[in-house]
Amino acid sequence: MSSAASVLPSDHELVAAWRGGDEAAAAQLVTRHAASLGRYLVACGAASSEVDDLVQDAFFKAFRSLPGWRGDGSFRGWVFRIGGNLLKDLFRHRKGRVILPIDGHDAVDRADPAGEFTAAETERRLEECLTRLPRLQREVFLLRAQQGMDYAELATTLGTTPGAARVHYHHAVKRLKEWLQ
Amino acid sequence: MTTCEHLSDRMPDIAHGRDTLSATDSRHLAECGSCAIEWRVISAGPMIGAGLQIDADPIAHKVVTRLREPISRPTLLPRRWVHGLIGLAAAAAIAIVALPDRTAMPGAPTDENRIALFPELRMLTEVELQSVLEASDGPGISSAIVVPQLGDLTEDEMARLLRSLEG
Repeated sequence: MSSAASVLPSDHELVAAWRGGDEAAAAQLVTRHAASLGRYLVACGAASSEVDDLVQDAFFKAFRSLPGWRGDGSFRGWVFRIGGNLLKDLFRHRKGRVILPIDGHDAVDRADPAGEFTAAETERRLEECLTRLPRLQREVFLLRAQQGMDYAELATTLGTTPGAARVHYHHAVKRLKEWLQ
Repeated sequence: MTTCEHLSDRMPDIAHGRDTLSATDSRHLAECGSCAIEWRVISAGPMIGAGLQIDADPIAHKVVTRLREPISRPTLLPRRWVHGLIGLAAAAAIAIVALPDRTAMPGAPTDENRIALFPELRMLTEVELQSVLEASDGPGISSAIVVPQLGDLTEDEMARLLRSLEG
């Protein structure tokens, strides 16, 4: 284990410090997870123009709701869950908008004369294909492949079981493979 | 578990640097078209949205600043609670005006009559309905309606309330 890793407080330690009144601990939790939460929300359909506010609201609600958090999952899962719910509320408020903008990517020529995709092209096409997945499969895939969560953390985040999460993940991968082939 | 399944399960961890491709894995990827395309999908996973610029420090500052503000109790009440309480209060107010001390009169309205007069009462739970009906029987209705405050909730009720807020 590196010395850097050994001195970094865990999320649970930071949560405990925040509960004890340490504002810096709360700020550290935000800086630790804000970017990955933002990327997740954008991949789930948030516009990049609104992602900062969503991330801010998600963390604010997460800290405010800590008394109701049982602490049986990760803090990351907790705040991702809240962020996802805020995004769903936003969609409901807009009467079910489900079109997923792929921000920061200009449309490019899809021709592939070399007969194989570059990593960037695969990434772009993957983002396109993600918009075609059912919501739960998309969320499971993103939490596993984009965020690297294991099935237990992922299941807690989405309020499902690890077994169900595994099934959704494999369905998502199967579809993505078919579409990308 | 086949080589394909074993490798498939490990792919996200490999893509995130928590596991490594062995020589056997690499040979398998070279020979198995299905695993090769899956690896292309999964290895691109960590890069999804990587171009997004999030400046975490200002967000952290705003969050901490907001957390310093006192909790605004009214905004913590779920909308359905507010609507329920308003409906309850309205029904009770109507009951005071429309049914003043008629219980002592011959042919006084029965509970069922009163519910029929105010269809919105049918939306109330048994306990809420009983509360309104009891309150409408006497003049002390204003003191009979108890509006729950957050401070009255137990830890468990508060936890459930907060979970309902999160959807």
